[in-house]
Formats: sequence, C-alpha cells, structure tokens
Amino acid sequence: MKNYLFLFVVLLLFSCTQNEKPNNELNTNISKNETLSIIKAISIPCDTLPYSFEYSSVYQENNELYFVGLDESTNALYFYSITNQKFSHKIQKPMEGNEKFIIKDFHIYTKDSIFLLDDRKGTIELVDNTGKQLSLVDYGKIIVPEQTGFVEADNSKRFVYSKEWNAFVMPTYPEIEFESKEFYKHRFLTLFFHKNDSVYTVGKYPSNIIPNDEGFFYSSLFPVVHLMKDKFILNFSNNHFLFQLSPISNELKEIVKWKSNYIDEDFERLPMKYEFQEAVNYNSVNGYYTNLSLDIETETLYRIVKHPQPLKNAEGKLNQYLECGFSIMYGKLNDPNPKEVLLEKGKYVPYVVHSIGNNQLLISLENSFNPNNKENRLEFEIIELK
Amino acid sequence: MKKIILFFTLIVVCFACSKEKLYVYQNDFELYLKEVHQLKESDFEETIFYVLDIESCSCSELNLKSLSMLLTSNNLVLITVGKSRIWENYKSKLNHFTILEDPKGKVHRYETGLGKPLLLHYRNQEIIYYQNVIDPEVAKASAYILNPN
Repeated sequence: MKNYLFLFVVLLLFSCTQNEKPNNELNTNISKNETLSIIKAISIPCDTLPYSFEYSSVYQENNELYFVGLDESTNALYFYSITNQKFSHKIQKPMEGNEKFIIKDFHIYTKDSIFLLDDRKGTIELVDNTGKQLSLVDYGKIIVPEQTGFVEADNSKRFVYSKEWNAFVMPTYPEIEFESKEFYKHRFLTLFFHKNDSVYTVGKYPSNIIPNDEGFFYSSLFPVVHLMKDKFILNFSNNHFLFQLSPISNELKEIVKWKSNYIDEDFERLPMKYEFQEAVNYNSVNGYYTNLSLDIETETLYRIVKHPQPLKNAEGKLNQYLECGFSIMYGKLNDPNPKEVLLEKGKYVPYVVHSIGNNQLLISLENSFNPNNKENRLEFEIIELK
Repeated sequence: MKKIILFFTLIVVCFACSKEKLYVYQNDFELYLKEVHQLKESDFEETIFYVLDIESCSCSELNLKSLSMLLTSNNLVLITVGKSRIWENYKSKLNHFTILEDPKGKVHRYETGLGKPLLLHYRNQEIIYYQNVIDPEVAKASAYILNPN
C-alpha cells in the first residue's frame, strides 16, 4: 500500500511540474563581443516630449540623421535629430473638427514629402516638414473593402510608397476571423496607383502559416514587407525562410532559410479556442521572428529574433515580453549562412531597430526593464555588426 | 463499505474542485490587489473593481468617458494601469471613485486576463459579477455599476 502512495505522490508531482523548454541560449557558441560594436550612445532630452511611439522611421538629409516617431495620443509626428542629439520639430494634425485627420501611419519619402495615412477616413495626405498639406489622395473612394479587404495600419502593418510604380502599397485584410483558413486565402497587399486611380491586390501565405487542427500562429497575422527593386521581400513570424513575392504573378518563392540558433525547427500553435490571457502567455513564451530591416544600399537584411522564455520567473510572476532574449540575424539576401548576434537582455527595444547604412543600426534603449533607462531622455545606441 | 465511502468522498471532492469559477483568474487577481495595492480581505466585502489599461488599450478614452458620466460611486474602485495623457484629462472628473494607480503596469506580472477592461463585483469575498468590457458593452458595464445586483 505504501508503494502505491509513493507512486501517487510521484505522479502528482510530475503533473504539477510545468513543462518548460530548455534554455536554448546555452546551446550556442555565438559571442556578441565578436560581432557587435557600440559606435555611439545617443541621449536626447525629452522632459515633456513622448519617448514611446506606435511607429517609427529614420531618414537622412544633408548628412543629418533623424528619428521620427508617431505618438497617437497627441496625433503628431515627433522629429528628433540623432546627429545633433536634440528634438527638432513636430507635425501635428487636428483630432476634431472639419480638418480632423487621425494619423495612423506615415511614410517619409524626403524631408519635405511626408505621406500621412488616416485609414478610417481613407485618405493619404502629402505634407511638407511643417505639416502643410501639399496634396490629398482619397483612396477610400477607389479601394472597396469587399474586393480588396480593409486598409488598416495596426499590428505593425506599414504602408509604403513606391516611386518606381508611383503606387502606395497598403496592408489590407478581410473582415474574417484570423483563426479561419479562409482568412489566409486573401491577398494582403493592395497597390493603389495614384496616376489612374487603379487598384491591384497581391499577397500569398506560405502553407505552414495556414491554421490546422492543432491551432494557428497568433503572432503572424501579417508579414513584414519590404520593397527591393521590383520585388517584395517578406518575413513571416513563424517561418524560417525569407520569401520573395512577385507583384505581377503573385508567386511566392522561398529565397533562403535563415533559421535562428535560438528557435526550434517547429513553431508552437495556439489552439483555436483560447482566452486572451493564453494568447498573451503564448506571445511571451514562444520564439519567433519579429521584424526585418533592410539596408537598400548594401542589400543587407537584418532579421530580429525573439527568443523563447519560461512563462514565470523565479518569484512565480509572469515574465514580460521585453525581458526575453533577442538576437539579430544579418547578411546579404542570398546568403545561406547569415550571422547572428545576441543582444544584451532587457536593454534594447528590439522592435525599434532601424538600418542607417554602413552595416549600422539605430536601436532604442527605451526598454522599461533597462535599469539605466532615464525617463526624461530618449536614448539609443548606434551599433555596428561585422 | 469503506470502499464505497471512499468512492463517494472522492466524487464529492472532485465536484467541489471542479466548480467553475465566474472569473478563472480570481486567485491571481486577488494576489495582485494584495501585493501591489495592499488590499485586505475586508476590501472584498462589497466592492466593484474596474481595471483599465490606460496605456495599451485603444478603448481607454471610451471607458473613461463612460465612467465620468456616472454620478454614483457605488463602492467602485477604479484601477488604472500604465500612463497616458488621456488619463490626466479625466482624473479630476473621476475623483468620486476610489482610484488605485498602477503606472508601471505591475498587473501584467499576474494572470488576470486584462486586455479589455475588467469589471468585477465582490460581495462577501465572492465574485458575483464579472464582465470583460469589450467596446460595444461599455454601456452595459456602466448600467451594471448604476444598478448592481
């Protein structure tokens, strides 16, 4: 009888033990010191100015580098000079009245040609660096959601302007639950040709992204899209390959497999029926590819990798998204052996990473778990990956 | 006979354990209130908690506006999570409620299901009403605060 009791206690203990993944970071021999150098620390006073942004971009003009962030609460773009380490100016739009324009995304073409998107209104404004309207594109009259899907700048979907095609490339999606297979049959980019007000849709998901009986990928609603010459380069959160999408044939082609050393071959799926908290836990615990940055001049790609982490810390409290490990994979587009550099844990905001040329990246230090984070300063590092 | 008694005891224990909670994250939520806001058991006698993420939820202005129109306090404790400019505009309009602020978002260390706001009514240390306040149901939440069960 005592034996049964012992067996019962052992079984109980096993059932209570959380099944955690091994710490992958121990299995790598990549050393950050070999490849990552901090070129410069940037610290900008921002006492009453925002330091956390929905979206951000960088641009360079007359040898001066700017960081631009969209702050939705004030409906304004804030321009900070990285070169001079000071706030430059802002472009603010009215949130009420006849002139109401809610900035949901922006694209900087040049210093005096900035596109602002109001996805609810269905308009794009071209403004100069003071915010003065130069022209207005009313795409809402042409893009019919029943045919193309809804244009929405949310969840890291960005719109871009292509000079070659004189077209806006807009993220569009159908009003269908994203747990449904039907969702993934939809083309997710709409090209709006301003010259003749015509519309063309493109976009295809790799087969592994489509939900199956085990569930779906909560973290990969929309791929990160970059334009390179006449092709789209796509990064899906839960696929090791980088893809090329032809806008003419809508053909999706694997370019190269860039598998991180910190991510397993297979990705976990979230069951179809889930509570919100389970989705939060899923995103915190699992590893996936969060972003793709591109240096057009050198045709170098930077792929940001979020690492897996245990659900709870030693105190039994939930680990937070920005506490987990991150790394950056980088190389030329066709390079089958990209390098991968580990970032210091809890220091950076790995989704605010911008390529600034010469193998250098501007990366935000506004991680709330960074003990050196100063609330009255907007801080970055310029890092170089060799 | 002993076996039968044991069997029925197990059945009763199993039923007691599997009693479905109105709000599955009750344990972690109470732990949060005790550890972060230093609440005591006596604070769960007759209290309505409204937990609102003012930093991350796009719904925050909608909820704050709706709450600011309520003229009754009805033992409502408003817990704000994070920081936002919108909150600074509404704070003075909501001071008839008890306000607990969590500017560093410590609630996210606990499993509470917080995304959209949470409305939880405690009576005699039990939750008698729970609502995940999705945008179309903000009015329903306000109606409950005005006329709780």
